[in-house]
Amino acid sequence: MNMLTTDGVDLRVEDLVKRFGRGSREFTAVDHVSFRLGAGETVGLVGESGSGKSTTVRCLMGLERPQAGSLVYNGLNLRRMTYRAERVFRSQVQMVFQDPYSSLDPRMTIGQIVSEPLRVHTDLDAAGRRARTVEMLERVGLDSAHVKRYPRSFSGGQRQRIAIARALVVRPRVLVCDEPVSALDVSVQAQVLNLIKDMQAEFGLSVLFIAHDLAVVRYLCDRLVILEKGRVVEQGTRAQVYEHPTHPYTRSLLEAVPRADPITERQRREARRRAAAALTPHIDKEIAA
Amino acid sequence: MTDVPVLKITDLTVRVPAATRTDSGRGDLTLVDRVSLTIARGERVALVGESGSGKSMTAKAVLRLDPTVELSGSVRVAGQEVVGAPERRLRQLRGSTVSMVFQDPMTALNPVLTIGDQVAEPLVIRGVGRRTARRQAVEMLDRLGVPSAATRLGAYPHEFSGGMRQRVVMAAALIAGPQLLIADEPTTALDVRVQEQVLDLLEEQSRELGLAVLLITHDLAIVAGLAHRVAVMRHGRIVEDRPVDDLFRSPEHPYTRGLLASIPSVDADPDVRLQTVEDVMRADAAASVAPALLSDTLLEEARP
Repeated sequence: MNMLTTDGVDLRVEDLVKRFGRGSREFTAVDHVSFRLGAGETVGLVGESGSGKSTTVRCLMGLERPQAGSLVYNGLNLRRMTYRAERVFRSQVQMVFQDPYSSLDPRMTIGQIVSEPLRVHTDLDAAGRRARTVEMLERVGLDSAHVKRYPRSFSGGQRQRIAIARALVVRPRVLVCDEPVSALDVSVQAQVLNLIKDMQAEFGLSVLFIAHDLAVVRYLCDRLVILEKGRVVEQGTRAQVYEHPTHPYTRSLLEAVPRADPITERQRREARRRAAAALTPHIDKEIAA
Repeated sequence: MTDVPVLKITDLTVRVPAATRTDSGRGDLTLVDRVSLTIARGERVALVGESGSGKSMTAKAVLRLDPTVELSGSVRVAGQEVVGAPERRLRQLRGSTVSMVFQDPMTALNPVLTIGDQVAEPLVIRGVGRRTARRQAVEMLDRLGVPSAATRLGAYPHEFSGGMRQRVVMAAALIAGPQLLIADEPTTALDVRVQEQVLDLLEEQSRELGLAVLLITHDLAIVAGLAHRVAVMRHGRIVEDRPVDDLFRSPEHPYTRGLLASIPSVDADPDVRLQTVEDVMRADAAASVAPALLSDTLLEEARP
């Protein structure tokens, strides 16, 4: 029951509901969403913009107040936490955001950025914090000689490494990533994805990975939760979802991922064109002729 | 006249003069270094590279959109020189001969003007009557798959989804009948299913209108089915410029191979580690050194 004594991870989201607005303008962003994240697992929360994936995560992290449902981490009710419990939760569950240009304070050096969580969550002294910061920066592939530099002198990929270092420096059990590579060039994405994968293996992290790109999710996630308009339309293991998607929405998402092959792509476009033409009522063609 | 390319860039260099640099560096900064690129009528060319490679600067130079940089070399749009041309001449080219579509349709559209006004604007500026311009705006929006276009002319950009906004932007770009459309990361801000629709639309319009397209992107996967030719840009230079099938089948430059290897695939084995550009280039450098050493050794041994 006491999460301070368990060393595993059991995160449960059950029947989560979040509505915005009221009366006729009410909008249900998250509609009875349920899923679990276990120890050492990487779960992908997948959907398009408006699917509710980010709102779900914001509820989980306490940034939004849901109307109904339960959020439980290692037996602890996240919707009603004591101050002490919240501090422990926040040290064990860390987050990396989508845009590395807005998630790092431009007035702090990267040394300050990465060591700040240590000041909040540990009783390490300045020397201890400095040592951990340097170690973490090197672990994510950055030159620790750069601790005195500001975020503006780093590229998007490097900034995302800094954000990952900040998240992992307190040795959390869970890493929540909200579209961590979608603002990056494809070539830089590969570096950050490999880094997340390495960190996951090295620290035995559980990862909740929010994304819209199914190619990226396939590379990283053991299990997938597919969201459409606030509802879970499908969830399963990677093999189930990619080899035998059951919901048409999942299939359409998979179908839309571009393949890096000119011949395949031209054939696929031709097939779409024929399908669209078949749908057009024949009467249109007669009038046109 | 028909064999005059829509776009002929020869030895284009784009520099930021020392006096106008906003970063901490000194001296002139060269963003684009002696780039040459030709696009024929109706041809679709992709200019691919990472942030900072100079691909967007090259695209902007075609219409001289950035007044803070210095251009040298030659940019000919349908035979007319852009470098050094008076501003008045450029205004005639922009929108009529060459149009541009940008990444974020929300910033490209004016939030306080209606869709109808914005799509018709290029025609109104050119002296077309308001009523005719609006009729043509409806036709163009229809063409680009905006449902019930006639009744939505009075709507504002915020009432449209991201994909619909990008269609509106494209309608405004195409309404004056340009010969070349420059699309700078037109789908980066969109969901995959909408991206697919926008790319299909781009290909279709290009084919039906005989429109040449210059697609600027960092993502080689999206150009595979769209481009006839791909030019890969790095550090301000074009390192490889070839027909799309050739480039994907046998990329010559190690940088191109790196870009291709770093694309995650929905069909790939997730346990095989993704290669980064650096991985590929390092491996390539090692491989190209090894045979050289080997042959030197052989030569040594062959000597009496």
